[in-house]
Amino acid sequence: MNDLESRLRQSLAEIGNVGARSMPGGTQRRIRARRVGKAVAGLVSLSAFVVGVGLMVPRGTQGERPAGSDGDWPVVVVGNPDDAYVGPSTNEHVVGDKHVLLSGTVNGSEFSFVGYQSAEGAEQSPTPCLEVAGPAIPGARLESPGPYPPGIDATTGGVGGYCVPSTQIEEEIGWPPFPDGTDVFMRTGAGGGSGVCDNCAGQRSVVVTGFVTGRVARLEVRLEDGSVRDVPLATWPNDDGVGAFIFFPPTAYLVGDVLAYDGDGRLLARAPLCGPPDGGSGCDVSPTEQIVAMAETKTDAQQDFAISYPSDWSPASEILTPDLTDPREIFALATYPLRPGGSSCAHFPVNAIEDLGPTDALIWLTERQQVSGNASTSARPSAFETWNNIPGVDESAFCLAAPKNFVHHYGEFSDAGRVFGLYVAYGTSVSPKTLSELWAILDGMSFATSSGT
Amino acid sequence: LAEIYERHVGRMVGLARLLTGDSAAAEDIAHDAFIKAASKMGTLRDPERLDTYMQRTVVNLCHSRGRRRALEISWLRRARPADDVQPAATEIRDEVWTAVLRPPDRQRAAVVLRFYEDQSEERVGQILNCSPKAVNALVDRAKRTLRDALAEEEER
Repeated sequence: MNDLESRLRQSLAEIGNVGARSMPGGTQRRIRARRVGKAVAGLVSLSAFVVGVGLMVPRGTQGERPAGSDGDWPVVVVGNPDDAYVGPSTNEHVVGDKHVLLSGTVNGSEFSFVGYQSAEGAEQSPTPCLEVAGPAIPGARLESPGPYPPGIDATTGGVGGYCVPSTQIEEEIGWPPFPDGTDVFMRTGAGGGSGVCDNCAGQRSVVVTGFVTGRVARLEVRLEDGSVRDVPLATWPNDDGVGAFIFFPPTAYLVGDVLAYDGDGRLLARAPLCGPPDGGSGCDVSPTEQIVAMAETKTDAQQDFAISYPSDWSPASEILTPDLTDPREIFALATYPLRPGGSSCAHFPVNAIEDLGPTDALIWLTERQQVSGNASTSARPSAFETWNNIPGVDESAFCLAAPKNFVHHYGEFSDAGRVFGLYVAYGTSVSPKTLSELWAILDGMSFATSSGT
Repeated sequence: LAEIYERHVGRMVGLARLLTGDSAAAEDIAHDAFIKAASKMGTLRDPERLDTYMQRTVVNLCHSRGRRRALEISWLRRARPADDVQPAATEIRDEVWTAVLRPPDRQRAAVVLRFYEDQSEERVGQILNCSPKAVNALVDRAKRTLRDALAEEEER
């Protein structure tokens, strides 16, 4: 055990040593009240499932309550979309038809969830838009004077909608235009209104809506008490690989996250639920944290390896170190375009390092051709972020024309009976997002036993 | 029930105190976690793991409290820009523990669960809802921050 761990254990043990506690009076009463409340809520929830499909599906079989759930969620019943309310296409920018993605009732009040595309000019790509009619949209921007769905009036709801802001399109490549390359765009409310309904069948409820990219296979909401509920994804009608979602959490439980997973169960993104807008602490659009942003995969049969990386990283289109024969360069990737060559050193990608900016990152991977069974080569680390502290012979800084302030590491590791050299470099102002992507790319590399080619 | 309370809650108060740095909040959080756990005792899939369930609840409640505090401070700073609104200073004076406060929530939770609760990487992963590999990465990152913080402290 190293010195830091010893100090940690000692300090934490001293500070955390608070002694036993005896149970205060009234605790049993609170526990009993909580059990009764949960039982009643369980019955209500079970009834909801009996009469229809719950929009928010607790993890597990229908009727089984997930651990930690408290049952104060509005009763949502999905109905027939054929008679759902669709606002008129009075907005001249609407492209094509509006499509009902989902409709039904929330605590008995009707709602409809509609998707369409909008473009402000002929030269602009259409952006995805959502429209919600129903409760929990009080004070929303009204797109028409009505008529509104039954049960909706000025105090209990209305019609609201929004499109992903066009400024985000310019920053992104392609469609859909999700901000900062995230997989989830989520907002509380549906545009215009607060998203909170005080008069919905005597219960405060909120509507949360959003989009996910086609990479998202499953969405779940995880609340502070550890309870988990699945959020069903509605497929976008125009086959653009985008999904939309809507759910109605109770105001009291707006502490938690919506988590997006890919088809392999890998967590892609986390979007925190916003606090209630009328509480002074809420957000409108949730600040999504992208966990893994892998979009591109390179599988090289000749080199027997596979690597995945975000779409905004650039692989080298040619060998950066053409004069290096052993080790031999097998892959290079960076957040900026890679320039091959550099005359001062043959054993480092000099021009690429010269071009590295303060917010950039570079990965350069080589493989030894003559492996002499060198026992000193470390095995592949479980996490490359920790490996970068292991000393290696890194002469790259001496190859540059002028002194440069950047972080860089070179070292060797063995995997699948092969020995690789890895050079990692990044600027001093690199963002946490880029850094986490860097380590995720390295951790995701896979190598096959050499085929001898 | 009282016996279970005495056996578990002191430890949970310690855990919450290490995660929040606030003894009063830690008492509330541990008590709430116990009520949540006790109300489910008949329905837990594995009652033997009540302590894991309580640890997870305490970690989640501490995280939620941290987010609420951050939102409150953010709102106060917007509402009263003239005032210099600062987070409440921790009451605990310990060089190592002060450094433990530096890493983000999840890293701090991983360190405290590993080195205070003495939990395995698998158990910490279950509590934090991540893989053992991710726990390792969280702990390693936190340790690096701690080393830097302690080095800075020693230089002063």
